[in-house]
Amino acid sequence: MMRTRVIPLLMLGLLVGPVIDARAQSPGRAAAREHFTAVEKALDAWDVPGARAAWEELARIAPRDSEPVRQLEGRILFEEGDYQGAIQAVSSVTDDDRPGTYLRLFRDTAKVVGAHRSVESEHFIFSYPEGKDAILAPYALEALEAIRKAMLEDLGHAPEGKVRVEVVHDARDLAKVSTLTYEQIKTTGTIAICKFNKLIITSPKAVVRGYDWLDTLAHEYIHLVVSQKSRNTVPIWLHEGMAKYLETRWRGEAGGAMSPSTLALLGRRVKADTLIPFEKMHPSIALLPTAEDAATAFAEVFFAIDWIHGRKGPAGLRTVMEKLREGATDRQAVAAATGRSFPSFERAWLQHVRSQPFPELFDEPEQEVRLKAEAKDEEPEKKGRQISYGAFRDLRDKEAQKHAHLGELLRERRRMGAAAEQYGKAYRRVGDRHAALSNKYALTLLELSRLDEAREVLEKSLTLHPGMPQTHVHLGRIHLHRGDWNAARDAFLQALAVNPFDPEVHLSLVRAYDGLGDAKRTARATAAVVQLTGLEPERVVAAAAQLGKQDRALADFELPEAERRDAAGAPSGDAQGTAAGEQPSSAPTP
Amino acid sequence: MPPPNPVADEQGGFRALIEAVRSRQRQQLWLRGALWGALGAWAVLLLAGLLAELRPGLGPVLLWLAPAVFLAVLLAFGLWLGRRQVGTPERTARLIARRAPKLGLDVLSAIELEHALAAPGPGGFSPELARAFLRDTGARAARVDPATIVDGAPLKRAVQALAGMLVLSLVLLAVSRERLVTGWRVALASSETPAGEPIRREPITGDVELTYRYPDHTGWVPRTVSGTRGDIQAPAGTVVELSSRSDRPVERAGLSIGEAFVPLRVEDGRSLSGSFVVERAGSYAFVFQDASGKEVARGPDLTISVEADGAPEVTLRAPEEELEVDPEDVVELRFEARDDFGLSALQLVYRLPGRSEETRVKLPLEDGRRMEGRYSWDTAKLLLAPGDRVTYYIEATDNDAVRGPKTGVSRTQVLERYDASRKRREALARVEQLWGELLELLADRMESADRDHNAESSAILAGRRVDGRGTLLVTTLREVASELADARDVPPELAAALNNVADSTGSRVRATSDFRSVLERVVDRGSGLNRDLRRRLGELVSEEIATEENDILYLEALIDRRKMEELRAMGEQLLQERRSLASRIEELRNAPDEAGREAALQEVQALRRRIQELMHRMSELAKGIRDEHLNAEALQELMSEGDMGSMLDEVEQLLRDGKMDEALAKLQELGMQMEEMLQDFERAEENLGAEQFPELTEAFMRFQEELQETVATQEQLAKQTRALQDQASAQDRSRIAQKGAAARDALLEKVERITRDYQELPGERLDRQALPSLERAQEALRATREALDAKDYDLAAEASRQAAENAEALQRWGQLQRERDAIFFNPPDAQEETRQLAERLERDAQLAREVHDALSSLFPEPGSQLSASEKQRMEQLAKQQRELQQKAEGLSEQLQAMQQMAPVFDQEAMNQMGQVAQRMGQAGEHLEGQDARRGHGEQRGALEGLERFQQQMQQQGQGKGGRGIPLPLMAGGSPNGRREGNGRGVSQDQVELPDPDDFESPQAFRKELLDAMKQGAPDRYREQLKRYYEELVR
Repeated sequence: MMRTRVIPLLMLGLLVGPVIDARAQSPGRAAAREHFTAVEKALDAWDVPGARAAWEELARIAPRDSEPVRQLEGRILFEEGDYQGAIQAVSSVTDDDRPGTYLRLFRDTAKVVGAHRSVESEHFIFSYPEGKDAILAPYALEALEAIRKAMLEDLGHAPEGKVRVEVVHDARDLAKVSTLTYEQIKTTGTIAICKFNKLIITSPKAVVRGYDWLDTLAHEYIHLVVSQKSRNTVPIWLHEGMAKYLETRWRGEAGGAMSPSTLALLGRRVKADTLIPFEKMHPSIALLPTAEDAATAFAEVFFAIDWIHGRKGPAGLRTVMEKLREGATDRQAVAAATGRSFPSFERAWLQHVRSQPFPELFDEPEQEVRLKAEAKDEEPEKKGRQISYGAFRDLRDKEAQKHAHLGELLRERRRMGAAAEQYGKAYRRVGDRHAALSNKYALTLLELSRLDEAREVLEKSLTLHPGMPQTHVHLGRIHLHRGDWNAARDAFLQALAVNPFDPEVHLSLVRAYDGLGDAKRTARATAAVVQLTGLEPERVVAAAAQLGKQDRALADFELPEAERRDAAGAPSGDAQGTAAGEQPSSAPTP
Repeated sequence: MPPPNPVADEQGGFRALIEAVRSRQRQQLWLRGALWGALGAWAVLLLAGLLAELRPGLGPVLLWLAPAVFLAVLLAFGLWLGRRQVGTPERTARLIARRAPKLGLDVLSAIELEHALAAPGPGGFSPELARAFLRDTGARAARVDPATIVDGAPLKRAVQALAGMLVLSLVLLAVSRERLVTGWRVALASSETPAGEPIRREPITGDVELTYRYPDHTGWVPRTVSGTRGDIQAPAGTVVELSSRSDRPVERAGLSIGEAFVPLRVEDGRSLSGSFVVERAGSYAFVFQDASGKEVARGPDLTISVEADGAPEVTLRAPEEELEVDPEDVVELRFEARDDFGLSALQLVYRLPGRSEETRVKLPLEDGRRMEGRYSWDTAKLLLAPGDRVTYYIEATDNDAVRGPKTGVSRTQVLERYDASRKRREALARVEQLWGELLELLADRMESADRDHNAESSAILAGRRVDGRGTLLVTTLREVASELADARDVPPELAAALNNVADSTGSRVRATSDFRSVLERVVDRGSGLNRDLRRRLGELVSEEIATEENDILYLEALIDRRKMEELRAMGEQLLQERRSLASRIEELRNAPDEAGREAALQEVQALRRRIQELMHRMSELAKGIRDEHLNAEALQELMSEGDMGSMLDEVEQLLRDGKMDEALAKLQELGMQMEEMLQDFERAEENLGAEQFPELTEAFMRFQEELQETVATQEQLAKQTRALQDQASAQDRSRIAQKGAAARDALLEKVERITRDYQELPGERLDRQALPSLERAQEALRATREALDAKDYDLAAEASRQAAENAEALQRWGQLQRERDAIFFNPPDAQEETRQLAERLERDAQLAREVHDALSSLFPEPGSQLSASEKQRMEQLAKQQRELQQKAEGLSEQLQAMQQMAPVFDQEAMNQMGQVAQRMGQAGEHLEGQDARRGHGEQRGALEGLERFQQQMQQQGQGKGGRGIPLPLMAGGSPNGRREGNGRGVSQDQVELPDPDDFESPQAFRKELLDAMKQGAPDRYREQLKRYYEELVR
């Protein structure tokens, strides 16, 4: 990030120097320097209109076709979203497109985004690769408009014009358009980024088990708001803290993003006294040595913001940003916002962190966002009646593992009574700690039409594993079966927020929205099913109408023949991925 | 225009009807005649065809008869029956009256009235009225359809009969078309006589003498038959010489054989002779001709029958239809071949796998029509790969020189090269199937009502079916375990695991089943199932479920491990294939030639095929591994043949380009990849199951260490005891012998009494618990008796101790049965029987104790010859032995604890360790009693038990040092031993000769000698042998 920004600047300085020297005799030399610096500053402060205005001034006194001027013009055009214009501007003065140069970035971006489709809402332009990513658009735009409104309320700022949001196929494309290296992305699990005056996210289809992509979009948007409002003066720890803390505002209250598993991780680090100091979070949390360190840092700054927000409300956060914009240090800004010295704040924050109700250790490892390209050894969680023994690999309690394994063996033989008993034995030993076990147990109970028990198991599992799409799907089936359309809709939307490419989710939403009489959203969900399966809309409606009608269908979902054909062509994780990435890291541009 | 004739009008109606009916009747009769005639004629024609060959004279007659029959039948129907059935108009009128009831007899009346009207003179009736009647009848008759009057059924029957005949004819034609056609030809030929020529078919010759000169290949000598009619019967190619006398003077004569004419020599105007070669079946006739050659007489047809020369028949008597062979096996083929006249060649014909052409091996041939042969077929020369199948048969060729040799072949049989890998896979599949059944049993138990305390009694009793299935499964497990234990190349742990599972699950299933039987009796008595009974059943089933869970998981882990081993073995096979290819290329590099390069290229292609096949099998195998900790997808990735396939492509291309060094380098790279894969397999195999059974793995390793320590300590203690024993070796043999002789007869009598009583015990009343004790007691009594006979009081004392112990066990069992009778409310008569049985067993036990006490009293007081320091040392040894006993008991407890986790050990192993501890206890007891001799014997016994245990563990593949799952131990072992690989070696176990002063081992040794003595010897050596044995056992 820094590399890609600083090196071109130095280069530009070297180039601009002679040009300006050449005009040293002219009275505009000093003015040109001033405008040049103004453009730079505006760009650094995420102020693209300001940069444009300063450049116009510069162009009036410096030759428009000089290399520095064209380079600056290219950068501005790029941040405005005119990639071809940017390429044209820069390539007219240089052919150097080695890795790390702006020209390479512009060309790569144009290549990646060139064939994109786009949809616009009032304040956003959502650009996505042609194909099934189209189904993301309506949900994304809805969430983005919601977070915009919330940030306007909370932070008192919203970017001018329409914000560009770009979806890329995978981590390699993300590397091309973000200036992060592929290795950095892989190591830190970076899945989205706010940079160049836009939001970029990786399609959930590239992630083995999906990830909470809607929260991630909101998260990146908050980075944009904070950067613009503070003129990019907020240090990284506060930046991440605010984004993490506020990312759930699009769907409700702030502070809802802390997952039990991350909390458990934080508890472990508190106990081991291995928290990450604030200063180590520079220059970016995403660049911490391990994904666990990054997750710990996120959790720490989350509680720092939680503490400020808890006492001063959103006004406290606004004060922090305003003070920083005015030139205060982070310590001074926090002190001003909280009304106490920074050491005092640190002590209070640590006390606040330690007072959290940390859950017990989880059997499953910390959920990481694992890219498909890097997770060949990872078995995607099997759906419905599919059998998977590897699901219990990480059960620490060996006795529970034994019973879970027996349960799976019996389930494979369709001996559901016995299987349920075995799962029950395992479940009684580990409780709700193991989401896959809870889901298998619940599925078996569903096979036996023991719906209340299954529901209880699933709901309890969600308290510890709220981001498990599969749990939401199973719960949603029960709600559909019982005709509780609101609950069913909520459950499937939760699943969709992590794994949007599961046809069952959209088909079930068709059913739920239809039950609620929401024709507009029914049509939206129907379109998604059509997109994912290639099924005729009439057949979608007919298939959806059958959902939840029979007890035996509760434990599994089968597409009609035509749907199955299309789904078979989709990557397995799309239709089956379940476990949410509890903590996808993002890499905002400070 | 003339007025209409009233009479004609009046008559027209019924007259027309009568005529129409009559005409129809006649038509039908002619038609029926034609149909029946055709049927008859066709039948005669068929008969002619069928009989013409058998009765040549009859054929033409029948042929002529056919049209005659047709004509006769036609005329019979048309004329004779026509006349009879159609008759006069009055007859027709009566027929109309029968068939048309509305007209009744009116038509007949009308005819009569018409006659009356036509008659001159008054008729005594009113003509007007008569005419009116005629008009009326005429009008009504006009409305009647003549077809309804004439019965069509006979015509229909005729049509049906003819159709039937046609069908029959078609069948006949299909079945014996040739015979019919030939017959008709013969008949036609016979009937074609030149017009105007007189035919004389009476015999015109007499005393026909035939001399047959058979073809050489038949090996028959010439034969002359005199005084015949002239019919000939001989194989084709036979020369028939014929002589006869004519019934008249003739100038020329000959034989008419089909189209051919064979002239005969005529001597004296009457003697005829000549010859011809029999070629095909048919007939011939004597023909006389005048001087101009005109036929003047022809004799009847005489038959020529040709004896068929069939194809040879070959039967393969050995080996069996499908035989599995080892690489070096020589297969003994036994076969039998036969032919009518003789064989000219015999061959073994086989086809190797993948070859389209057959290979032929000439077999030795004997003269004669039938031979039995043997051939030793060296299959090593076939260079078969494991699993290759060779089809073969024996082909025999006859010596038919006339029509050419014919061949016959035996049944095609199969030789299959023994494939150890397949055997292992099959065994594994069988174990996996049983594992699945065990899983089903577990499910049945879990889903049953047995643990539901509120379940209906009927639901609980319905669990009897599951009990039955469980019992059957346990039996099958034992059977398969036994089969696998004896089978060649089957991993021993599979058999051991099945056996141990049968033990552990079996005992639980039995307990559940037995208790359900009690519940059944309670319900039969009308009592309900109370809470305690339900609770107890629930407990038993829960215990069974827990055991089955452990057994399933353990067995599954073993199956997975076995699959991993198979994967590794396949990987090694791949590596071997690569090595052989590399050697081939190296040879080629050193001596390059085009043919060699082409051969190497073919080997690359073959290797690639084998690699693909192996990869496919490996992939299938890996899919079946359910271990959570094995990363199946990563394994699949590892085995992806894509890389290897492309590397082989490159090797192939390099070879084609003549770049041998580069090809070798590429192969080296491939080899490294394969070795890496193998290492991964080995690591996975080593650790497989360890994560599933961490506690078991740890406990097992601890057990191994402690066992090792115990063995070492026991060995040391035994050595020290032995040293003490040596010092007190002075024995008072003669005194014991004297005392023993005095008591011997009485003791023998008591032993006989107990033996007899045991033989007469009601076997049906003894259960699984009592029978082993009874068998052991009987065996010990037999040993006691034989030892007494041999005056070996030492052995007798020990055997009597065993007899007494087992007799006491039987006594306790009897007592227990009495108590059970009371608990289960058994009928009084059953209780009485049990009481009597228990009392008998008690008496027998008392007698056995008396025998043992008497024999024990023969020996001097132990320790009486030891010094004070030796006695002190003995006490120390006793203490140490007691401590060691506690350690052994600890080992036994460890076994029990491990058994709770998984069926690693069978009951025999548990007993074995228990016995070791017991013997240590006994050794301690003897040492405390200053009896070094017996103490040492028990120590040796304990040591042997421990060492045997260790050895069994090693044989089962334990102690490899890996972290993997402990392999099961089957202490019972296989009665028939094991064979592995393709070799058939003898046992390499060392035979240890017992020390004459040892207590325990000589006892067993002497017992064996006594057994050997009983087997007898040749008469002249008997006395010598007896003396030898006596010397040995002294």
